[in-house]
Amino acid sequence: MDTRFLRNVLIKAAVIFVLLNLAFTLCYPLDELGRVSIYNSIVRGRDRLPFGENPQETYTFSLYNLEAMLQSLALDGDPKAANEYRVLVLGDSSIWGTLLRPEETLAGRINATGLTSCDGRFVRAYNLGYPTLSLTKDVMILAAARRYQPDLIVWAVTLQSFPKNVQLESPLVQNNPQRISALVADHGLDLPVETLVEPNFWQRTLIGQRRPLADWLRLQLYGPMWSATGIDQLYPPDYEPAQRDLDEDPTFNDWSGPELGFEELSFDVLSAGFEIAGEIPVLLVNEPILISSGQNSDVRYNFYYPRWAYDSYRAMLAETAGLNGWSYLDLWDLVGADQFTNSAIHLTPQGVSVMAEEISAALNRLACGEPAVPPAPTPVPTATSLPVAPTPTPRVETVPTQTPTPTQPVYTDWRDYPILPTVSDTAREIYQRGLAMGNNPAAFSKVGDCETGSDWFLRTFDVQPPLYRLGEYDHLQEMILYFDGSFSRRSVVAKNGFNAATALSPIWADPAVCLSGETPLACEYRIHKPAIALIAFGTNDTKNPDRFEGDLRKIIEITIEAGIVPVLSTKADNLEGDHSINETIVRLAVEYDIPLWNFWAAIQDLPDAGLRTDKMHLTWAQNYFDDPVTMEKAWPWRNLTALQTLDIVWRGLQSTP
Amino acid sequence: MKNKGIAAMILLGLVLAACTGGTSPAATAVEQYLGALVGQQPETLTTLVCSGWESQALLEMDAFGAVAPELQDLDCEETGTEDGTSLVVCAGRIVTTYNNEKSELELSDWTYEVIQQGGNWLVCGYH
Repeated sequence: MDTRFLRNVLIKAAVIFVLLNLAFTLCYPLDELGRVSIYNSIVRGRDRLPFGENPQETYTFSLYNLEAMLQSLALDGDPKAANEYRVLVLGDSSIWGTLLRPEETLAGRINATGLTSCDGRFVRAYNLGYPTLSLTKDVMILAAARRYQPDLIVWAVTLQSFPKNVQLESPLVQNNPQRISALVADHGLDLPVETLVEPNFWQRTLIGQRRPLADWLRLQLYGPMWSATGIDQLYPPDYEPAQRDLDEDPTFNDWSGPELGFEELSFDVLSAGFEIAGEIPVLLVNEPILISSGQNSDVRYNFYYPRWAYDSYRAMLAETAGLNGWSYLDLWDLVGADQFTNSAIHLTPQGVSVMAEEISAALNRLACGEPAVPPAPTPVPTATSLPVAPTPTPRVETVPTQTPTPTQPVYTDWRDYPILPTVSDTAREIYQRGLAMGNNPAAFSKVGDCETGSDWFLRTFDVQPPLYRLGEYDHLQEMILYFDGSFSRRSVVAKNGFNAATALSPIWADPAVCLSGETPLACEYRIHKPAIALIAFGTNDTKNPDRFEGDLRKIIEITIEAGIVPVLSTKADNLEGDHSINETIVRLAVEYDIPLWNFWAAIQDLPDAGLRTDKMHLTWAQNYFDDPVTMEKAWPWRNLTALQTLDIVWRGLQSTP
Repeated sequence: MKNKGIAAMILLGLVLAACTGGTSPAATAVEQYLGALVGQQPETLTTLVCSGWESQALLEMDAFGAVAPELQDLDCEETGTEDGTSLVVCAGRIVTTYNNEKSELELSDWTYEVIQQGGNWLVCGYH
């Protein structure tokens, strides 16, 4: 053997290997490689995404090349037919179909119903579920699968997919950091994307990527076995059934209640999914859960969920869906406890059929351009008696001395002021002057901090179909219709972190809509031309309470000067410790002779005075004013008393001063 | 020849020194003002602003009272004068955090007005 020849061969091989590695590292063509597939050509496409740990028996396994996974699906086969109404079904293992054959999954059952859309296209559903609980995982799959031209997306979710700390735990998410980084950047998601590890130079080489490369190859090699047998999962005759007797533990995700915080759940990721779907309709489904009747079932519904957490989640999801106009089905209690298999969310084939029936009906309506849920009849006021907020008795009346002369009753203690305002001649004069200046009598503005800019403050009263029940307060409906549009309007001067000073600082005005040098307050008034301003500051002003009075005075005077009736609200909390801010608010309302909405007084009889454990934010429930249970929370009281205040002020302003 | 080389080196040094310039006192005053603003230092702030603008400056500071502000990439530059007032524009931003939610206020949208009074450079407003 010529050693020189051998040496040259080795050197050349080494050089070629290094160059190949370098080229691979620079191009990093995993997605391109994923598009090379024997599925849908040599072998038939799969019915669900590859997942599993036992490829020798199931001919499938877990890999993380999303492109290769999608290419292996039947969805990636022939182009969409002209007579196909394509439905993509997203979700967790209950949608993927743990212990279910492909035809027994939700997508399979929908296909079995033989639905057609109103224009005669046949409905074909594709299973894009994947067995980990993370909304971010769902959104990543949706973003990649949108190119398949769906006509509708069914997205099944459950509370366990919502906590922020589970979003990046799915291995599929962790192994696709570039896709997740792009989602975070494009949709401003609040996710700790920096914790995801991007592959370094060495990890991007052929050697560093040998596992993904081998996975891609194995996926192709298992194709013929899958195609021949249709097996992609083991179906053991015996499995450990889902727990029915539960621990007494009342915590969820280390939270102990009494309710979930909106900011602790990834509703931003949910919204991103709808943004990605764009014009494609999405049917959001709260999937069925096992409702146990065993031990400690008074504390927990099942292994996953304590009752307080799940109830809170359902209310938030329904409210958020309503506020955003999303099509939403809450199927949480649709399926009986005997129709769950090895987990509180895994259904038997019969359970899936029940779920598929409901979803198919909604899907049929959506496919025909109708709402997913038929409009509910107009709520009828019930005779339920409500806890009525107390009207305090005045302690001592004093004679006011300020200018203008107040025409309202004056109390020595701010706490004694009624919850609801009276309308003075001063307010009527401001209103009339404002109308002459061109203000819109059917518009009001929200001026305040995050609790006033929140979607939960009044926004729901502009949403159709109504997501509220007025109960015995149905006389408010006339006013609600009159101010249509102002309830859901996003005020320029009611935002997170705002305080009284912020409203007066031009640097905080939104440059997209405000003029140069304009304050947020002036900007809001110029754009919306309201007749009434609900002004609710104080919670974010506790750092400098001594300067709060001066700032609030300026806000009141600017408002009056603009011919807008200022309505001052007290705040629920006492972060400053001596209630001095509420005292200031009430004193200025009296001094300027303008309406006062003493919200603080409305919630003092509620549990924990209507405050969450941070002693700052309000407890939340839906706006069902006829439900004594929801009326134990502060938000429905805030909305109810705000509506009552608006109603009184609106009616009171109509008479001539 | 050697002397000519040394002279050229000195000349080059002078030119380079002139090019590097330095932050003008007006620009420095704005940087200090913004530092006091986000640092929530009312005593310092009031020494850096005109007396007629003091209450608005305190209001501007209070506006950040609930949001944990932080200056990022601050770099101010005097861009000219107008009626004896120096005009200063800053690059960078104020990043605020409220309930773990971050927002940014771009500083380049604003021109700060600075005057010299009794030897001190004072911020008197912005537009």
